Amino acid sequence: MIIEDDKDLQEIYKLNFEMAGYEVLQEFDGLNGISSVVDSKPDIILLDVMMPNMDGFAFLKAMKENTSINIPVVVCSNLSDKETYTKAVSAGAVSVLLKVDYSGKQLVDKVGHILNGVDI
Amino acid sequence: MNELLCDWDIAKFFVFSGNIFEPGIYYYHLFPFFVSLGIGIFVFLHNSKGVINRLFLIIILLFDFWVFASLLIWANEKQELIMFFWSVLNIAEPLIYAGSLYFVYLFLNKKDMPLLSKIVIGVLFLPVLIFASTKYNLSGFDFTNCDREAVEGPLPIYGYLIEIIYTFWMFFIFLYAFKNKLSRHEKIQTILLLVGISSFLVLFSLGNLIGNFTDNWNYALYGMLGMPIFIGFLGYLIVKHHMFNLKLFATQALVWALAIMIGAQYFFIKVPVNFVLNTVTFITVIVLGRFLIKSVKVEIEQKEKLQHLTEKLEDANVKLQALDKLKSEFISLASHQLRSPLTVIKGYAATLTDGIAGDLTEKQTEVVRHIYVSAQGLANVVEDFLNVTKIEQGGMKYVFASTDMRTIVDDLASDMRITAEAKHLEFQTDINEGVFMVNADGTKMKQVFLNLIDNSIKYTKEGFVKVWLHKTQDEHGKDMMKFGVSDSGVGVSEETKAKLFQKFGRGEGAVMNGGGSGLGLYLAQEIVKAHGGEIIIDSEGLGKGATFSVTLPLISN
Repeated sequence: MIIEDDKDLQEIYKLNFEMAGYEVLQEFDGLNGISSVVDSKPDIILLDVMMPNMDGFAFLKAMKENTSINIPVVVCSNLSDKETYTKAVSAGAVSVLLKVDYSGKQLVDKVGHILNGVDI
Repeated sequence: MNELLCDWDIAKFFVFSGNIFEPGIYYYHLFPFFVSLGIGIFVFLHNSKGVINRLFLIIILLFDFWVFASLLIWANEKQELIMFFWSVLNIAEPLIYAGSLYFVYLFLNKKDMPLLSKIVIGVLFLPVLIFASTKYNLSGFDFTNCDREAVEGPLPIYGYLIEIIYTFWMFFIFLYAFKNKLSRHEKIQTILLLVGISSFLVLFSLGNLIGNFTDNWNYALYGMLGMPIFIGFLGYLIVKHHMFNLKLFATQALVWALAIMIGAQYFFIKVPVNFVLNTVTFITVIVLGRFLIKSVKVEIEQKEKLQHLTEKLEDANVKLQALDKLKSEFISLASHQLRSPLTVIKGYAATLTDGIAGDLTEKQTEVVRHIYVSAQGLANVVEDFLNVTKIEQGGMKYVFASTDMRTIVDDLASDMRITAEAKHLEFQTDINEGVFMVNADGTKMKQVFLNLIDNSIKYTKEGFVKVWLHKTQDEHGKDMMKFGVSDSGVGVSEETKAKLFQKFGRGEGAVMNGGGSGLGLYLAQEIVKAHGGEIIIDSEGLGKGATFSVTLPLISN
């Protein structure tokens, strides 16, 4: 599942993941993301940080505290400060990526690694 | 009737009679009476509109009334007068405590007490007023052994109780004020007020308390002699409210004490020569004392000025820190906003070149690759600026962890191949097998490697770019990893080598590529240094290609 408010990025990621054979669910803010996660229980979540309604950190917190779901979350943000990194990791993210460094295909590879337990 | 039996003297002016056990009684009462009255009037006249000054005078008047009533009880012989003043005394006492409480509040908080507090004080006091004229206050008169004593009922005990409550209340006000007053000056002032007012009240009550429990009322007299000192102390606090200082206070007290002591000699002088000598000494002390006080005052004023400036400086410093934080937040946000569109441009471009959105012709692929490379270049510049800002602020944060450098180099090599091939360069790799575990910040090291590869591609017009990764050992036999990029590009002259790692230092090739920030190598060096590694350039000269290599210590097994 991709939780990201930028429609273009959503499109890019969707194209790349579908091409690689993934089924992609899309949500555009944290609040819708959380209810959708509960309903559909995806295998992995790509999560943006700065989003309307509920940001990425609040999403992680809500998922951790209010559900028993244990799905790996990859935080994909364009914030590179240390605070974002530590906050995301301590909130339970398995990986924190800088979006601008990853093309769609590289992201697909990264997700593949994580799902196969190669790179955590 | 009884008066006759006991052979009591009839008092003149209510208080002067022979009915006392020692003449010192007059001195013990009249000295504090007049001195405190003088101080009270002086403080009042100093600022007759000041609430604190007025309240102080009221407390002094209550105190003086109490002193007068006490003297009357000692010296007068008329039962009705003694009974009347004794009962009024019992009203005055808690009132002095209530007044002191109000005084402390006003003095420390510089504003009026809330109405509710005033009501509580009043309600507590009300029973004392209501029952003052009943048998609960004074239940009888004791003629035994010709003592002229009233027999107290339960009301005075209640009076002591509310005095205790007022006292506790006062201490809470002190504690609160002390906690919230920040400057040293205010803290000293608060402590001195605490010392002054508690000494005043302790002395005031001590004799009473001892008298009540031991039936010996003489102790109360000795305490009274000390009262003017603390009244003077409090008066001083009020008058010198703004430029109060312990040192100045001590100096003034010393000079005044000396002057009074020397002045007192006049009462004992019998020989005219001594009179002249004493006068000379007296005048000298007063003149020199004034100089001393003045110089101490100047010194204190300067100190206060300095303290004021220091406080201002501290304030400015706090503001600066806030501003600095704001700047960091701004930079962080600005770089985020710049990265977002770049991510989209790069994303779409890569989607096209990767053939995910359908096949492109060779020409189209070429065009889109240029878009991708330019966007990547801009993303690198943003990254450089952000990192330089962080280094300048001393805030470059590293997240060290065991990281396999080979994975990073592998990823980068396959990524940069696109860029190199877009320029029709031969992209070679020589990456050794195995893991290359280094205690490193993976993101930062990736940026360093990316920068070096990117530079080589930028500054090589034709030929090859080769990325390699080997294991090696340093001079102490420690295992190291060595990453390098070699190319057939413009090369670096001897003079330029040192300059390259400086901020905005550009090499010979800069002319052919204006897109760089001039910060990349400076950053790379800073990051490598932070990892305990080394970065070096090898080049045989202009036009002969170059090799940039990074050595990092491997984690030993």
